[in-house]
Amino acid sequence: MIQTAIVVATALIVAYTLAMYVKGRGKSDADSGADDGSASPDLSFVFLVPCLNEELVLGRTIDRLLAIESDHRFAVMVIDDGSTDGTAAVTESYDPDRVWLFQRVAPNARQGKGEALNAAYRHLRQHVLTAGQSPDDVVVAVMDADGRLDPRALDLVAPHFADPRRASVQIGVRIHNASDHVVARLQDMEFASYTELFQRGRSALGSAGLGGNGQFARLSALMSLGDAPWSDCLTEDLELGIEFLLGGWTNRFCHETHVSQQGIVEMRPLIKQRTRWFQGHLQCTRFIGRILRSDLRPWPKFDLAFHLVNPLLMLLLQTASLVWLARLGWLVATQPAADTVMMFSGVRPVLLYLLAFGLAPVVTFVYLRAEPKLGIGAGIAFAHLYIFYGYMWYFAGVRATVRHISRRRGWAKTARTTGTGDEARPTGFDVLPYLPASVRWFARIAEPAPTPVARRTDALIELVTLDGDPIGRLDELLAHRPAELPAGLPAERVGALR
Amino acid sequence: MYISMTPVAAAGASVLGVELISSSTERTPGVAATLTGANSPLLTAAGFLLIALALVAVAWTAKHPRR
Repeated sequence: MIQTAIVVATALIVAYTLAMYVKGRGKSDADSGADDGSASPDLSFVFLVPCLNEELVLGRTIDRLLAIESDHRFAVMVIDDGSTDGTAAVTESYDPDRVWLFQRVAPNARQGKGEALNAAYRHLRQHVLTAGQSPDDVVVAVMDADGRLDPRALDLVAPHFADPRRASVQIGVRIHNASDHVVARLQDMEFASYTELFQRGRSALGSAGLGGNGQFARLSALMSLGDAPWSDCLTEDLELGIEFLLGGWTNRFCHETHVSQQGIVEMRPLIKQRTRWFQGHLQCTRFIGRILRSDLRPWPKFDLAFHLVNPLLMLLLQTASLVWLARLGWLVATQPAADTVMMFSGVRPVLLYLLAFGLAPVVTFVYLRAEPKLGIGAGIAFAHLYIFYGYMWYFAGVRATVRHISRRRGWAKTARTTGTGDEARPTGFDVLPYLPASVRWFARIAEPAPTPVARRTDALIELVTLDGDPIGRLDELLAHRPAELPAGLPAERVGALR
Repeated sequence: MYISMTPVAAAGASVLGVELISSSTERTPGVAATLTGANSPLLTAAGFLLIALALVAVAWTAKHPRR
């Protein structure tokens, strides 16, 4: 009975995989954004680059971003999340009109990527509103500090936002050191095959997911999720994509462009990373009920629910697989040698190969299409290695499940403390120097800090009258009571996105 | 988030494969294979040759997409 269930589940997964591939291939127009019309010329982009001690790679990343040629305005906001190296200095060496430094310091810093993004988002939101710019026309792009974005990315992504209900667009992710190490190559194969087999199909279905790198989200869609669109979930990107869909927005995957990142080259940190992803998936299973009760169409609803259950299914099947492999080993060890010879003769080993490596041709095909420079022999060999590589998920899955059950969730992050996260501001948006002298208000630094860096980042700006009567905190006024802001506040400054 | 489902299929497939082998063993009396019988090594070689050819054909097709 159990064996039958496993075989049926496997058959369904293979069928689902092939169906998604066919579905994705049939929607090339939607993939290219051609059916969405033209993007608004006012559409502008802000790259959010969360950093924690990234001085070695950050400069190159900023250089690449600034080299992008696009019809759309864009700026880079570096989120220095409590770095102790030269991350801030690297950022400040660039034109502050185009590269903004947003610093977070203890105790608010190092609360995880989601909190860093939320703080930067809140700051950006305030200034966009103050500048009178429509949040519909601002797209936030999340980039890793070592990310290398395709220079065509903005112009390829922008048309997808012509649809006013489009919340987000995810682009492909590749590994730029794939040729240097076999583990990096297998990660590249994983990303490329996931993209081609699943993301394109899910995009056509209307259930495309978001990843942590190469994620483009419309500011107004983020605002529909409140002050903290990125949660403290270990896979905050996955959760964000689901929240958009449940909120009536749409997501899209753009396969024509990609961002590349540095691959991990050792198995131990790789398994640690995948453990975090797996546990994040487990955390997101709490959405299944909401998904099933939602107004989503049946297929996206099914796909989303299946996507969340998939890791558990994978864990069960891989456990069963290992049990049966152990049984085979026991048979070989205990039975007469003649029986073992019999087991591995004739058509049976061929059948076993086809069953175990049956998806290798699919992976070979998909990856060689994505990486045509790779030779035929290498493509076939890596596709076989990839099958073994997939069992890495088993170890990550077991570890993640144990951690999830034992409610351990903070291993990848420092302990959380209270704080608004709004304490920081980017130098590119520096407020105080631009307050008009003629205005009958002045700003007071409410919480001065001992060092120049801390003073710049810890500032909570409180508006008071010349008589000293409090008006309120600037960030609260910007967010909730913009009408009460005194005329002439730095709107003309913060509107400069480029 | 990128959790590939390819290993799932591989896992399930190997379960099925091992089960096939195990059940076939239970029926096998331990007779040596002959060159023309169902357990012929020629059959094994021919099977893997076909698989290799199919893989090369798939890879070649991927590297030479139709315009």
